[in-house]
Amino acid sequence: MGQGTYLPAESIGEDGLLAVDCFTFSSSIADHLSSASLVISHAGSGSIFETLRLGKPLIVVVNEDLMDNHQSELAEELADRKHLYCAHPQSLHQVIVGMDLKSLLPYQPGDATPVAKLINRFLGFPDD
Amino acid sequence: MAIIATSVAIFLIRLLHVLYLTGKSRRLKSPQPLSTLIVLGSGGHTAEMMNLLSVLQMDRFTPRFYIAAATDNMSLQKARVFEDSLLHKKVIKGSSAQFMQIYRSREVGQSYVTSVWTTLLATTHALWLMVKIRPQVVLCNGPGTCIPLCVIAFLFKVIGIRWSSIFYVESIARVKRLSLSGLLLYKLCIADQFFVQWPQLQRKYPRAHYVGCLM
Repeated sequence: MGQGTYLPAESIGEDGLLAVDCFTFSSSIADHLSSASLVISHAGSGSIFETLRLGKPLIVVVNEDLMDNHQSELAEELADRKHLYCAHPQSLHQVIVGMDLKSLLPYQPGDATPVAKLINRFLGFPDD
Repeated sequence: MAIIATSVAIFLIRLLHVLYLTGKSRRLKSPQPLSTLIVLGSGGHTAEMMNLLSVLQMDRFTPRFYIAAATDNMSLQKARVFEDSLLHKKVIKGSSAQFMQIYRSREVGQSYVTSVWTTLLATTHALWLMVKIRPQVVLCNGPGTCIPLCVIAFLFKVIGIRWSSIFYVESIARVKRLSLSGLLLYKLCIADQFFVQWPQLQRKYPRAHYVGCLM
C-alpha cells in the first residue's frame, strides 16, 4: 500500500478473527481516529498531533529509511514526555505487549498566538 | 570596468544595509494591509501553517498568495478550504487569495548532489513568480520550497525592488536539530524573525525566538 509492496488481507472478522479494513486515503480519517481505542501510526507530525489532540492512545513507529531520520526526534521527545509510545518496526510487538495505556499523559494542544503576537508587533500592528 | 566596480560596491553596501536592518522592525504609525506570501509544504508543514494563519488577522495580511510544490497535491487544496472557511465565516468579504505551484528544490529522499540542479531550476521558477507577486510579508515553516523564495525576497530588498519581512517558523518535528532550510535561513540571517517550537533549539540557536508548540 502507498509506496510499499505489502497489501493486507481484508476481513470482516467472522468467527473471532480480526476484522481488517484498508485504504490508502480516507477523507473521514478523523472519524476513524475518534472511534479508535488505540492508534498505531508512522511518525509524521500531522498524524501524531491529530491523534494526540483527540486524546487517543498512540504508538508511533519510526521509519528508519528517511533521510537523516528527523521524524524520530519528535516521536522520542513526546515519548520521553509520556504522551505516546515509540517503537521501531522490529520492536513494535514488544511495545504492544508491554504497554500500559493508562500511564500515558494527556497532551495539551499547542497555541500559535505567541507567534502571531511577535509577528504583529514586528510589523507594527497593534496588539489585539 | 568602473561601472562594474561601482555596481558591485553599491550592491555590497546595500547588502550590508539590509543585513543590518534584518530583524529590526519598521514600526509604522498605522500600518496598511501587507501582501503576503505563504509557503506550504507537504505533510505536517501545511497543517502547522494553517494553525498559524487561523490566529492571524486576515485583513492585515492581504492579498494572500499560497505557493506549494508542483508534486504536492494536498497543500493547495487545504489552503483553498481554509480560504473558503474564511468567506463562509464572513471573516473576509471577498476572495483575495491566489494559489500557485512551484518546481520543487528537492524531493524527499533525493540525493543532495542532484538537488543542486533541481534547486537552480526551482530558483528560476521562483524568480518568475516572485517578480509577479513582490510580497511584503513572507511566511514559511520548513519545506525546501521556501529557500529559493526567501533568498529572492532578500535579494529584492538588497536591490530595492520590494522591502519585505521574512518570518520562518521551524517545524514542530524539529526538536534538537534545525532542518536544512532552517539552518540556511538562520546562518545567512535572511529571516527577520526565526521561531522554534522546542527549548532545546533555542539554546542552540540563540537568535531564534522560542514560542512553544503550535500544534
